[in-house]
Amino acid sequence: MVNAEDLFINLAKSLLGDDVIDVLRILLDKGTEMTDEEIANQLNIKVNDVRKKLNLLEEQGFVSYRKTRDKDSGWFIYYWKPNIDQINEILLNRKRLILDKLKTRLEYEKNNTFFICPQDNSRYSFEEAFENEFKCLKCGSQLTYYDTDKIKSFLEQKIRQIEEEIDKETKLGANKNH
Amino acid sequence: MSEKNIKGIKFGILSPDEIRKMSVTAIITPDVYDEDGTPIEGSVMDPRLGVIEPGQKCPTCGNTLGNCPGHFGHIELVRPVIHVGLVKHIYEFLKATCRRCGRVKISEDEIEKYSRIYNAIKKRWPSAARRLTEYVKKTAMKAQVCPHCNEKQYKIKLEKPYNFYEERKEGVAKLTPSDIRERLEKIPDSDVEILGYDPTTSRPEWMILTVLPVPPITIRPSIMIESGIRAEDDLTHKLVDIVRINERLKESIDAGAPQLIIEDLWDLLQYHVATYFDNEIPGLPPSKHRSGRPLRTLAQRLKGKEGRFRGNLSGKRVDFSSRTVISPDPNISIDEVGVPEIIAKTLTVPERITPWNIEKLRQFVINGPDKWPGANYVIRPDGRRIDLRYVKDRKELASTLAPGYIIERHLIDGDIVLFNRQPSLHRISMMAHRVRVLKGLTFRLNLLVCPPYNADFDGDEMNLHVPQSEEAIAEAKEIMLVHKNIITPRYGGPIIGAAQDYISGAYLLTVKTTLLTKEEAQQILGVADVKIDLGEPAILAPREYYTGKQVISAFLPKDFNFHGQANVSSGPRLCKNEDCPHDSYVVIKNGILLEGVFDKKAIGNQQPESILHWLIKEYSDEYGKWLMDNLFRVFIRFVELQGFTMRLEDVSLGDDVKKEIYNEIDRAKVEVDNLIQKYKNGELEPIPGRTLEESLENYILDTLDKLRSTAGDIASKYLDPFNFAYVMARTGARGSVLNITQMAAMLGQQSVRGERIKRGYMTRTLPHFKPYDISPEARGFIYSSFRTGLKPTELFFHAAGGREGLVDTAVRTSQSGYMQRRLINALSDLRAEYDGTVRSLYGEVVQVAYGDDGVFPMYSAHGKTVDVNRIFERVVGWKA
Repeated sequence: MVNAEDLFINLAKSLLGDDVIDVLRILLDKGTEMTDEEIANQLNIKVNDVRKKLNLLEEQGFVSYRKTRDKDSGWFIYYWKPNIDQINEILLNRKRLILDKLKTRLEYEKNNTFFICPQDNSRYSFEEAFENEFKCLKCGSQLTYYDTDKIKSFLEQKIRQIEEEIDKETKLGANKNH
Repeated sequence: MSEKNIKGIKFGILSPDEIRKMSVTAIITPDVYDEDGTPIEGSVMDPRLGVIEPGQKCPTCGNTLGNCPGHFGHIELVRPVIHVGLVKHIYEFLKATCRRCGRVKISEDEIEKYSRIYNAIKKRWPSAARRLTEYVKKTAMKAQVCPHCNEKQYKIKLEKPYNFYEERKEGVAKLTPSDIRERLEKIPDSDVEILGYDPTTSRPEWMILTVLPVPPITIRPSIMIESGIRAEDDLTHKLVDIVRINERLKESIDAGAPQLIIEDLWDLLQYHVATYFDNEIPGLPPSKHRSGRPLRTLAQRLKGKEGRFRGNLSGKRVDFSSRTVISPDPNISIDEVGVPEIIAKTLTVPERITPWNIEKLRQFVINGPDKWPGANYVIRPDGRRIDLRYVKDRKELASTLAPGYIIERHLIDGDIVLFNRQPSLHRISMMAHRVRVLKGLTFRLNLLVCPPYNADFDGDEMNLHVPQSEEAIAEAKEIMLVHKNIITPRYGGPIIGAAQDYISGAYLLTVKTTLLTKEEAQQILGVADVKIDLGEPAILAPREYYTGKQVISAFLPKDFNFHGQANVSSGPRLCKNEDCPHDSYVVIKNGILLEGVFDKKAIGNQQPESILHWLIKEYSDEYGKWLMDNLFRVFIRFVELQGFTMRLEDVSLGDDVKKEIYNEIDRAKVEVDNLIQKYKNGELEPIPGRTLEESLENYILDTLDKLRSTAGDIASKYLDPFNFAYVMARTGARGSVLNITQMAAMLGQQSVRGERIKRGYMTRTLPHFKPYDISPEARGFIYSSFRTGLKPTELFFHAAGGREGLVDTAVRTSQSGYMQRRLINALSDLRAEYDGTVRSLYGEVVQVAYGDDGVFPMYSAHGKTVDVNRIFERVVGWKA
């Protein structure tokens, strides 16, 4: 099995870019909860930037925080920790999002007819083609009917695959817990 | 265009996608207008949200003011917030599903089983389906461990109004709307369905708002006050607040502000969005205007009596109506209403020009809007409306009039209008009257029609509506005119009839001692619009005198027979048959009043089976109206002539009578003292089923009640039978013998909650008495009369009893009002079909026969299908 931490970081990288990695890495390395200031001190960057990154990570579920009251000052202190055990859920959420998008795309493909220019392969929906008298906007050549079956079957297959994955993962979660 | 039928309406939750799709622009700036006062694009007053000023074209749809429906915008919320209206549902979802995998917490097999049942019954038995989903919810909530992923579940707590907490083993953790949304997203469609929601229209995560729709400006118009200063609608204010906080939150997050600040702003955003929906959430301070007035946000616009439903849909303000104070006028007909000239000039009736009315209407047009009777508008055959206020030469316009034009003319004498007094508790609270334009500023109505409206003239106001179409006018005329409603549908008796002075007058006129000279008879008959022959005077020598009975007989139909007791027939003046020395048994034969007096029982309102009732029932309500417009006027003319009042003398007693009453008082006092003594000695015999104390109270009450009635008897024994107050009480015109007793002899026991007054201080009612004093005077018995005046303690007790009465009426009216509202709403769609059944709109039978006997009380003889005795009396006559 691949190192979970690497996977975690790679996932974060692909979703949020390289910027946030330093903060995430520090949290992972430390292994315990940290305040934003501690992170800033270690990385030697402005605390505002740390917070910004933490916020981004939190929005995607990579990190979470805990709020406590400081005994002496009565102020709130926020402790941050990486959600490495949540990696599956993050992935699942991502997959659900993709699934949603694929489904709307499939719907779109199903409900529209398309025309394609044989010259430069640009695709037009029926409305667009109709408005331009079935001529390509770029080269002016006659459009031909475009068969979406291939796209549809590809989409359908992809959707099925992801659905199965989600299904498996939800059940797997149960098994892992044993 | 093809006809469309609405088969049903389905409610769902707007998804973020839908909100974005229907939005024409995102709202991003909290500033609304720039320096020169034009609305800023991207603000809540963005011009793309719809036209606001007349003449403008909508940048979105191209329509002008009247045709542009307005368009939605949207606010992208930086952080999600909870929709307050859906907190209950969110809570249920959180409790019923797994915190980790999002499945409903019942086993796979059960889910399948229930979903099969649910799908089978949801269409046909929606209420059973609801019960099933409730059951699923209940069982799912109970699960401690998820049957799908074995995750341990924690208790979810809802802190009203919208904060969710999870009680984990390491401590209570707050669930942010983001956390909640994440959980709800995980719930699969199939599971949403068996929890009773339709996932296609109401995904649970849509209950957490990520996008907020901004309603079009037409929904929240800004108003100009004193030209120039713009006042924004409350909703606009609220939306600006939301945008402002949203932007601040975004800036704070982008700037990497401390988590605490972000949380606070997030909470503030939640507060603003929550109060935007409902500003009366328990546990939340209402959002206030700068002036301190709470804002009227979405829920407030819909809720309550003045809300959209009850105030604008179930009931609305109408045109062609007016309202003013009412005052009495006994000289107009009962089906007339006096209308002030200024109102007659404002309300109009459309009248179509024909060859027969053209000259009359021409004159109205020439008179114009300011001179009564005139006209306010002319509608040409092509539909154009001409406002006569702005026509320079009305004469010229009048000359161009031709058949086919419609004139909206002023209200004139004889027009049919609807007259109404709230509360409109029964159908005769709204009747049709004929207009009589009069000087003054109040509506005038005949005193006899007060009872159906329950009106008096202590400042009552009434409403008047002018029907506009021929059909409406005809309908009002045929079924709603006052005299067609003299008989009430409630019990089939006359609800309109004599009261007070009319009864006193009728009594005085019919009394044996009343003899009228020819001149007097002429004088009182002068008010009646009749030509009648009184015949030969009843008394010829020493002078010619007519009796009052002769006068009345002249108004009765020649074939009318009646016999029965009068109201005065009671006590010492009781008569059970026509052999009556007190003149208290009424006999009418062939339309001649032979014996007896007219009083409340004969002509009073709300007196079924009376002379008046039979006259109206047997000789048409037209005749009833004629009687009231003529004979009844004679009655009041007669009291005017005689003079009728109430004097101090009427309730003053002589010294000997007073003495007699004092003796009675002393005797009763001794009796009560004896009772108390017996009680103290334990010799009092208890009444079965009561304690000794209760028995004593009862005995005392009995004794005192007896005292009051003996005092009353003594007083009335010495009262002159033609004492004004006593006449009124006996005839039923006003007041009762009890009232006179209280004025002349003794007020009697005052009570609170049906008992002698006992509350006040710990051991006594007032400090004027000794502790534990249970004597009559210490417990609210009043020996004084109103004539002699009350002692201070007596006055206090009287006030205590009086207050209870006031409170009772206040409580009763509100309670019965609400009860009636519910009844009306529940029964309003039932109707009696031609087959005699009572059915709902869908044809379901509610009653097999209307009222269980098919008898309509209004057409019945006081509830009975047939009154055999009356028919005999009428047809066969009545043998003496």
